[in-house]
Parts: sequence; structure tokens; C-alpha cells
Amino acid sequence: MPASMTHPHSHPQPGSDSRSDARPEARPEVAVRAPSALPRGGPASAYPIIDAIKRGETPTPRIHDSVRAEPVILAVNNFQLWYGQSKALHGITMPVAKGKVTALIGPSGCGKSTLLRSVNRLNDLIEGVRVEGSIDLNGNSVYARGVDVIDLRKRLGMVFQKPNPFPMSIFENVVYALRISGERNKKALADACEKALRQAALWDEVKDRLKASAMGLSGGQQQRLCIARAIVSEPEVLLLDEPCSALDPIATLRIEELIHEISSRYTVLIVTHNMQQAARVSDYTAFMYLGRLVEYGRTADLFQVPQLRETEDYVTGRFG
Amino acid sequence: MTTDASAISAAAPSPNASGGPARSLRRSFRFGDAMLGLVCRGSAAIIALMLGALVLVLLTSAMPAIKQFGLGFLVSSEWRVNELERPLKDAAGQVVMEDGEIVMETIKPAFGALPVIYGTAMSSLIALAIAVPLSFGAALFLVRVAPTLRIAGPLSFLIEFLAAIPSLAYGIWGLFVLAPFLQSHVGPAIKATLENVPGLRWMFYESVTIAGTVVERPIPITGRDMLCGSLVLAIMILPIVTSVSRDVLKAVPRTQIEGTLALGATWWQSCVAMLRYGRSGLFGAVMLGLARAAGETMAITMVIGNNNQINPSPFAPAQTMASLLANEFAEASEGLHQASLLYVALVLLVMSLLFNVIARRLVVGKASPAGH
Repeated sequence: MPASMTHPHSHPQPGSDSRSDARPEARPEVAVRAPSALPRGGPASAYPIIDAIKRGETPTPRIHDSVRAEPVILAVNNFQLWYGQSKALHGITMPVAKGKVTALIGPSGCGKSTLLRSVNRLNDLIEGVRVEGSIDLNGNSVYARGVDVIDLRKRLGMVFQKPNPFPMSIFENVVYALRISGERNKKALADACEKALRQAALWDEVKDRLKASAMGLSGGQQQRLCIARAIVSEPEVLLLDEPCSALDPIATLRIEELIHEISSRYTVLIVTHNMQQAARVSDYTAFMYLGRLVEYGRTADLFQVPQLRETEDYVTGRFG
Repeated sequence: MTTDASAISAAAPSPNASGGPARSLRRSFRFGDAMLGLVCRGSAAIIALMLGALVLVLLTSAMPAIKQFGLGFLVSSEWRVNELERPLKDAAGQVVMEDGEIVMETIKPAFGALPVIYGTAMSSLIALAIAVPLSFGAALFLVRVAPTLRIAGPLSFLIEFLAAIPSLAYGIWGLFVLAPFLQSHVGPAIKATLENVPGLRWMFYESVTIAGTVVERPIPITGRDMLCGSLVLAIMILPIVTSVSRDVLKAVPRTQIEGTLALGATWWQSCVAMLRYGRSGLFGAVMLGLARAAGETMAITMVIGNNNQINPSPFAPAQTMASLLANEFAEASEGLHQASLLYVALVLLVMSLLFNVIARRLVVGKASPAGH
């Protein structure tokens, strides 16, 4: 760490002080504590919020007013999650804007995937998971007593890191969600399949081999198939968990274009470790760190004029 | 760091740069490696040699029967160990008399494997029909439920322990516990329920020719029959099928299960998806079970009733290839009888080999679908 960053107040960047003044209740507290958190007498940190989080505190996240102006489809409210004894999410509160693409970014282990998987309660499968707080999908509480998890998941779509086509035909993959809901009408299934594949920009490539095994598709095609499979029942929110992390750059580009296209129809919540990707595909971006929300705002703002130095240095790759 | 780097650069100058002769890259002879290579190759060769020798011995000693019966052996249901003398009958079925004496004819011993092939196939298939659903259910439980209850370890141990119980123990249990129970309770109950159902009469009655007339008589329920043999086989193959299916299901990627659940699949639907994902491996598990059932000897000999006849009824005693060998081999005189038994053994060996090869290809070769 450069010697000039000895103390937050002596930081040479001129804008930093004025920004911290914008929300005085968050910063002065941690700024005062910073010196005492230097056991080895090293230089003071330039990242008071990160330091506070590392000490186990949960600083108030910086949520831009632009977020609050949007209609909310998914309301996360003081949501906390434990894996056994270790706490993975610390009181996350964030509204997700309806009809927009919201990206979750942050270094590995920051809980972004955990948060995503909490929305469709996929974490329920993991032994020892305990949650507090609430998540509301269109006003319906996700974690309330008596919620039918199966029905909840039918209202959401999810795409995973690695393409996970089922070992059956392309057609059967796409209509799987409808099949398990009991849809038998061949015409309805065929129509839904074509619509989903068209929306996933895969129809032209596979329309002549719908009966062929989905395992024979390329990685990028498989992932687009998974997107088609996830949107076939027109979910209220589409959850994407690092959908491009197993793909080559060209396939990644196609998926990003696709996310852009389907964002006109669906609300998308995407986890990505790739900040350029977040900048390219999303309308809103939330920066998370060690299970806390740090800053959340319009993507353009977060990447160009973030309110926190932590965010600025993270999105520019100087830290994290 | 600096000192380390300089030490490395000083210690590893290139040979030519230092002016010395270039070191030869020719491989030097290492005694230990050579010996180990020899031992390993020898051990591997012995396995192949043993199998080859087994097939060779069976082939040569079964040769008289192979020469005499050829492949017809597989479809003939005669099994006559000794020469038979009986009155000669003419075309009208009358006993031929000559000079006031009955003319006798001699019937040569004849051997055919159809009843035992049928018995082996039928008992194995019934055993599979009983054991496979139970095994898949147990495997799903072990993979999906038991871990959350923290009993997967003990249960897996118990299942593997079942596989280690000697087959004789199963046979004794079948003979002294299961067979009497079937005879006194299950058999009569089934008979009382199904006897008068049209189309099921064959299960309880058999037609025999006595003194030229066809008579229908009830099959005595002894408890030592095809049903009992199949049940004992089912219990015996349950552990292996369960533990192989458990491994296959364990190998189903988490993303597959989560993928189905995220789409709103119920617990049962996601289990079906798991079974479908592992279908080739599961088929391999079934084939392993089939091979084991077909080759099982001791237990089945004790409970199947050992009657060398084809009877479709599950309450009729039957015979499998293995039980036939166990029953007759010790008493077989040299010659055609022994050769025929060895021919049966050869058929059994070839069948088991085929099952195993198919099973192995399915489990190892295509444990997961192509593309993964």
C-alpha cells in the first residue's frame, strides 16, 4: 500500500471529503475508529467501510435515490443468512427494480450468489442454513410460513454458472417446467418451446433438431437453452448466477446481448464477477462485500461517479 | 528473495556455458523400475491367463457334449442321465409283442439345458423385478434423505455388510424361515385369492400325462419353489444393486438437481430427473445384479426345489444352471453326463461374462451422458 495513504483524512483525492459529507452518519463513525484498528502500527486504511466490515460491523449501505424511485418487484428487507455458525449475509436491504437488469458484484465470498439463491429458496437444500428478515416477491413474502416453495420457484427462473441441460432432447429441456406442471397439450408445448427459443436467440440454430439431445450443443448454445428453459413459463424474475463464467468470450458476448434483449420483458437479477459485464448488461448495480451491501445505484453512476471510494477502487480494479 | 534468486542463478548454469561436456540424455537402466514393471505385467498377465485357462478347460472337457448335441443343447429340455429301457410301442401306441414277450427299446442318455436356462433366466428376472425398485428407492434415500438425517454412513455400512454375508447363510434362512412361511401362509393366501381368477389357473395347476391320458392336478405348494428362490436371490442382489446405484446417483451433478428444483420440480420430480440422468449407470447396476443372480449357487440350490422341468408356475420347483451343477456334479460319472454339466457351466460362464462386459461398459464407459 502506498505510503501516502496513511490516513483517510490525508488522502490526496480532492473529492473524497465532499462525498463523505453527503452521508455524514455513515462515515465519520468509522473514520474515527480507523486508527485503533491498526494493531501492527501500519498505515491507516483508505477504506474505512471495508475495514468496518472486516471488524464485523454492518455499516449502512449507500443506496442511491435513483434506486428508490423505481417500482419494486423484489424487496429484500434486513435479510440475514447463516450457514451453520458462520453468517453469510448481514442484514441485506435492497429493492430490486421491476423490469430492469440488476447486477450483483463483489469479490468472491461476498454473498452475492447466496443472496441470489435465497430468492428462490435454493439454499433450503443446504443443511444448517438459517435465515432471518424477509424477501418479498411482488408483495408475497418468500420466507413466510406456509409458502409453497414449488409454486414460488415456478414464478422464478434461474440459470446457473455451468450450463446444466438435462440429458434429454432440446425440446424436452425447454418445456420441462411446463411438463412438470402437468401441461400435456402438444400444440401449447410446441408453441411455448418456439417462443422461448426465439427469445433466447437459439431458435434458428436448433429448429431443425429439436428432437436431438441437448448434450450435443456447444457450451454457449447450452447456456442459451438453459435461459430458454428458465423463461418458458414467463417468470416474474430471472435469476442469473454468473451465467457466462464457463463460456468463451464470443459465447459470453451472445449471452450478454441476449440478456439485453430479454430485459425488455423480464426483470433480471444477475450475479457476476466480471465488472465489465455488469457495466454492459445492467441498469442497476449493487456492490457487496463480505455479506454486506456497500453501495447500490444506477450502473452508470456506480461505475462513473460512485459515492464511496471503496466502490470506485473496486470497479476500477484497484482493490478486491 | 534477492539472495534466493541469485543462489539459483549461480547454482544452475547451463552445462555448455560452463565449458563442461553436455550430459547425455540417454535413459539409464534402473533395476527397481524394471523389476516392478515385470511384476506388474506378470500379475496382469496371470489374470488373463486364468480366464483363458478356465474357458479352455471347460471347452475341452465339455467337448463330448458339444460334439454330440451342438447348439441344440441350448434348446433341448431332455435331461436323462442313465440309459432307459422301456417297452417298444408301435405307431398306434400299442406295446409291440414278439414271441409272447414284450420288445424293449433302449433310450440313450440325453442332455439339454433349456430347463435350467429357463430357470436361471426366470428366477433372475423375478429377483430383479423385486430388487431393482427397492434398490433404487434405497439408493435415492441414501443420496437425498440420509445425509440430512446423518445416517448415510451407518446405513451404507449396513448395506455393504449385507453383501458380505455368505450365500450359505441366505440359503439356510431361506430354507428354514422363508420356505416354511411361504408354504404355510403366503402360498395358500395367494392361491385362495387368485385361484378362481380367469387366466391364472396355470399358476396353481399343471397338466400331466398319466397312462396316456392328460390329467390336471394341483401343484403342491412346498415353499421350495421358483418364488422362494427368486425372493432369496432378490435379497441377495439388493446390496450390490443398491450400492452401485447409490454411487451412480451420488455422481449426478448438483447443478442437475438444482436445475430441476429451480424450475419448480417437486422432490419426486427431481428424483426422477436424477434417475434419468444416471440411467446408463443404473442399467449397469441392474446388469451387475443380474450377473450375480444368474451365478448364485448355494442359496438357490437350497430353496428352488431342484426340478429339472419348465413350469411357468411360481409355485413349481425349478432348477437353475448353478443349482444343477451343485446337485449333480459330485455324482456325475465321467463321460457324457459330466461333459454336459460342464457344457452348462460354459454357457453360464459365457452368459455371466456377457452381462459383466455390458454392465462394465455402461457403468464405467458412460457414467455420465456424453458432453460432460
